[in-house]
Amino acid sequence: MSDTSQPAGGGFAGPTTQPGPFVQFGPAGATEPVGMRKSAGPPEPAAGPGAAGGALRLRGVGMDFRAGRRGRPRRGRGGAPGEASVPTLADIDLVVEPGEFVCIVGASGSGKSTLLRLVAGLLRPTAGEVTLDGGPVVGPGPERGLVCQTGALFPWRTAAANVAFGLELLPLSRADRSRRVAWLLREVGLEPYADRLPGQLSGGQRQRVAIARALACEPRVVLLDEPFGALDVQTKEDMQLFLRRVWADTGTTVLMVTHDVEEAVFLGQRVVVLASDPGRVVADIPVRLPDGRDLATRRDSAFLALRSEVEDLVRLHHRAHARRLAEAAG
Amino acid sequence: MAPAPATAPAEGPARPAAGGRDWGPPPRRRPARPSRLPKLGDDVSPSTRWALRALSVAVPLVVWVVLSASGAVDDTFLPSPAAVARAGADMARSGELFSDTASSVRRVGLGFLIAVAISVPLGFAMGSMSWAQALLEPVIGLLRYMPASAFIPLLIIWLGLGESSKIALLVIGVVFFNTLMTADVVRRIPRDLLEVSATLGARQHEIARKVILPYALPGMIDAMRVNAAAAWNFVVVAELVAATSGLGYRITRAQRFLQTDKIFAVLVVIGVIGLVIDILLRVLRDQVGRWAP
Repeated sequence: MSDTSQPAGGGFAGPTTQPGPFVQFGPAGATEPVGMRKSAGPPEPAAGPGAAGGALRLRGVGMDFRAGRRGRPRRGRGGAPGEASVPTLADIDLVVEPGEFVCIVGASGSGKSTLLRLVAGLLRPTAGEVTLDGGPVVGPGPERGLVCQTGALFPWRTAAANVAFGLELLPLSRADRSRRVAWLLREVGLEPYADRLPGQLSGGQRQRVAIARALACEPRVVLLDEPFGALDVQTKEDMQLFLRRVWADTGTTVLMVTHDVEEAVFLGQRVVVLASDPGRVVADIPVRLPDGRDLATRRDSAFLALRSEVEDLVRLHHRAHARRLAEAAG
Repeated sequence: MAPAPATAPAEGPARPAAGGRDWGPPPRRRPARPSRLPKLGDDVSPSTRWALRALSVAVPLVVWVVLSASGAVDDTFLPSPAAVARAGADMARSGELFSDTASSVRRVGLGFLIAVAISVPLGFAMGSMSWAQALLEPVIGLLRYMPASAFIPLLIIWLGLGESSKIALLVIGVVFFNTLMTADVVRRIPRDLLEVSATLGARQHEIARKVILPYALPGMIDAMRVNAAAAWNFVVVAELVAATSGLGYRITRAQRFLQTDKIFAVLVVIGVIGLVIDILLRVLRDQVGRWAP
């Protein structure tokens, strides 16, 4: 969490840029589709929440870890001193349209990772429901690809074999599978590293493999849990541009959790701000920036103003949460 | 550190303590003298490593030679290396060394295989399912502390003096340890690997086969390596007590005729075979676990 307050309104008069071309990474022709659908460009920003037929819909979702399996309070789980004495998440309403790129920000303790794990199906909400294309989410599945901060690659599998994991579980011919894997590796710019083990890849390369692996089963939505949180600043910048390009190429829906406000504003079409105690949505801010985002976007005054606005909001709720923790600690 | 208030009272001769601290700076230690000895965690060069490895065998051997040559110890108690080599050559020529080795190795092989066949599935279940852990850990934890050799009389009563009692001893000596060690290895799998496999569509049995098993395999082979040494110990113990063949039996025979040179020769053979088993398993582990650091 950055503590340098940015003067609201953008003290830095950056050049206002026209939407530039996507910065391309990896080998030339990396965006050539082989076995995967490709949209002509980045999808149009979808209509706001509440539009009918949303790809991903959270309705009144709450998560209370203190509750037992049947909603009764669990005994012997008092929680650590200073732990919030309220649900982790309460009454979350969120709609993510097909093809949309939505970022969730919030200080630590706002339950943003929990929210993502609920959507992934790794947790069951204690209230409300999560639906994808109208069907309830009852468990993890390949239509909701997950990428976590560590990448969670299979260390004994090469980059290509990691990408192939989900496809190996499907009735696909070997040839079909390897065609898809080759396209994905090209898309993420890792063709020359196909036979490397995760231990032989850099942090950024590992995350590219993780993203390609999540994309392999062509999920309805890709869930990213602080995917670039462990990377250095320069790699992170590359990865953000890379992610925008992959999103544009594949037309997939992206729901990304991050604590980096700049990243959220730079990447998302919408930024959802969570506050803590209980974790709840306090703002859902459309990012009215051109879809072709590049490094100049970061110096755009509209970008800076939006970043400051979101940062102030996150900081406000972070401090309120810290104050409540201090009071609870005595 | 809080910034010093403008009106901080001067404490002591040095800089005034800031932020209401009424103590001076902490004492400083003189820096450690530079040393030419290797530091903790340092690597040694390959040549040094090989030299040290050679020393680790050569020094005890030299001590043995000197001791027996000096005449300080009676030859009956400590035969010279030459006498041991001669005894070994004699046993090899008569063929008894090979037949004894063969029967010991056969027992170890069979007993160890049975123990692995029981302990790997059990350990896998204990490591991956907490109900299996809760069900099996107390009883196995208890049985593990019962010395396998103490079962010998019981096994002889139950199974007689034949092969089965020796193999049963081996299984008892190995199976509980290997189960618990396998369970520990399996349990160490990172949670996010299991979760990400599930989000990629893997069913429970696919996670077990395609994620947990490859992750745990190098560690399982490590556990087998440790327990292979134990198995090798137990077979000799079993043969010392009751057998008509095997390396342990050869030792008891030699003891009866005070042939310490023969005992030494058999001990050397036992050590070398154990080392070979260890090296083979280590090579296997390095092949399987090439990905592991």
